Amino acid sequence: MMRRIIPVENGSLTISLELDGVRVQAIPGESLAGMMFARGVGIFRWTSGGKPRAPYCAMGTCFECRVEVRRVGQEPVVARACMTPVEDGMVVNTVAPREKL
Amino acid sequence: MENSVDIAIIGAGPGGLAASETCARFGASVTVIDEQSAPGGQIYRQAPENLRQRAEGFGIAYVDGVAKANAVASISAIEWRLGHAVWNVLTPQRTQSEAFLISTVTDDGLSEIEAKRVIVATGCYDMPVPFPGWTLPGVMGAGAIQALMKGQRVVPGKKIVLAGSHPLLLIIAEQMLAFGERPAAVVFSQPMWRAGRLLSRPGVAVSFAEPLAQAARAYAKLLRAGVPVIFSGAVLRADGNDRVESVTLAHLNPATGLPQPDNTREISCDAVGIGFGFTASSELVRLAGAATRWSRTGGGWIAVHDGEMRSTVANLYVAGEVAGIGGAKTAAAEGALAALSALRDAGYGVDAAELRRARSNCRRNRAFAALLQELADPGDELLRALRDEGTVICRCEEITKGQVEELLGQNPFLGTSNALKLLGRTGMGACQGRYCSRSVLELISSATGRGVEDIGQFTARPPVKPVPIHHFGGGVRD
Repeated sequence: MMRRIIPVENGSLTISLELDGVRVQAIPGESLAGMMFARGVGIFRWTSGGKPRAPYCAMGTCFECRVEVRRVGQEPVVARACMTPVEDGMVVNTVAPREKL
Repeated sequence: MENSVDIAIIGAGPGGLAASETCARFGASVTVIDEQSAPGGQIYRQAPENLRQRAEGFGIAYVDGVAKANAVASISAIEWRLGHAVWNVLTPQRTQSEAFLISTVTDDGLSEIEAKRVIVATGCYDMPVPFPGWTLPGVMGAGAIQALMKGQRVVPGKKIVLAGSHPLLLIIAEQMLAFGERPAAVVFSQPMWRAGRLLSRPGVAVSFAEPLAQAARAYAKLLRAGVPVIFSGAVLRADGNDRVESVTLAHLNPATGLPQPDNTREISCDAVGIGFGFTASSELVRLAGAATRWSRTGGGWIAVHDGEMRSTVANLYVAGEVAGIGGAKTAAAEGALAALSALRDAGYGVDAAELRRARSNCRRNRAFAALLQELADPGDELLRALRDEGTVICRCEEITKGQVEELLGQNPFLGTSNALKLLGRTGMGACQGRYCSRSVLELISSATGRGVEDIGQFTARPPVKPVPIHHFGGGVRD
């Protein structure tokens, strides 16, 4: 499974945000995709055809990793998890299968 | 246009960095724009501060490249717009002024940059190669695995299969080993003797001793670590329930280079990195109206340019992968040359000898790039053989090869990429055709016999990177 390749000290997890309704701690500057991979998240969104998707390019070109992001005091936007740094108070939702919406 | 800078550089990879350093040295006002929050591009992609440990695992070239990128970033004469994705470029002709207008988007909103000259050094991404199961979570570009390791210090799996035809696979596997991650297998489509045949050409081994030694060292390290390195092989399909759980590996017929369906085996894995080469990110070049040409092995649609990196649009220059896949050193050489051309065109006193040296440096690097392209070429026949009727071609709109072929069969006069997009939605999704354009081109070509230049590409349209609609409500800030 996906995971970190270096040890991470708990002290560096100073960012607090919400991922699919769960409060999580993250490292300043890491991307949503990095944080999600480190936590073992395997599916980032479901297509309208009902298929699971996850990052393909990890560099902002494929848009397979898009998730719903709500920053404090802002409207929710769809953002690429691989290009979006974690922020305090962010609310992140992977995009659910259509039948669950 | 009093606020316009002399030169804007799009992309802070090796090409953009070399260009910006050169511009700063001549005292030109220069702004560098990049989507990432730190300079270095993909090859020198940097991790955030608390995740930078063990960077030496990526090799000396990486450590040096990052140091160099940060040294350039500290040049106070350069203005940095990091975390800015460029979504539109208007030429002076379009703005009816003396400057280009570059529109960017950040997490916070929109901004604009006016520049008298623009250098586009936007790099490349893993060449998309459709095959059954390539949309499953865990299947990704080989470069993506490297980006995740460099930028986030994560790997997408425990048992990773690297497969394709590009020698970079060896380097990625070696970097994984440095972090204690053992790839499940490294699979090359070429027979092993192909590399030997290229290297035995007169002068090649001597001229390119350093990169060859690097690849040889990586190969030896993999063998010592017990990593299976397979030649004449290809991943035929990936299977799994909501995630890749195995791949089917085919042995390729040594005479035809094509898969032998009766000579396959399954490898258990939880991630796959596919590396058959790269596609140039040329959409901004096209958006500005500059000519591109098709390069089958060199990155798809790449910018047409003169010997000093001028595109076909006045005052728009190109460097690195957008001018043809060439690697970091080529990009740096061309970045410097593009900057010298731009400076000279702007009236700066550029020494003729320096320009000559820069040109010859580019030529030398391009010679190696051509060799690497030839070595890495999987051949179109193999890539065609990897996709079947049910294979998804357009990932965004979930359109299969069979569906595209059916449309082409029903509409015999449909002969361009744009026409197929209008009728069949391929290229209409979020990636804006980046991941299906090559397959679409090949499918139309097979069905109609038309040439690549006639079939053309999807028209690049703003925004080339999506912009949240609410940003357009609040005006533009500087």
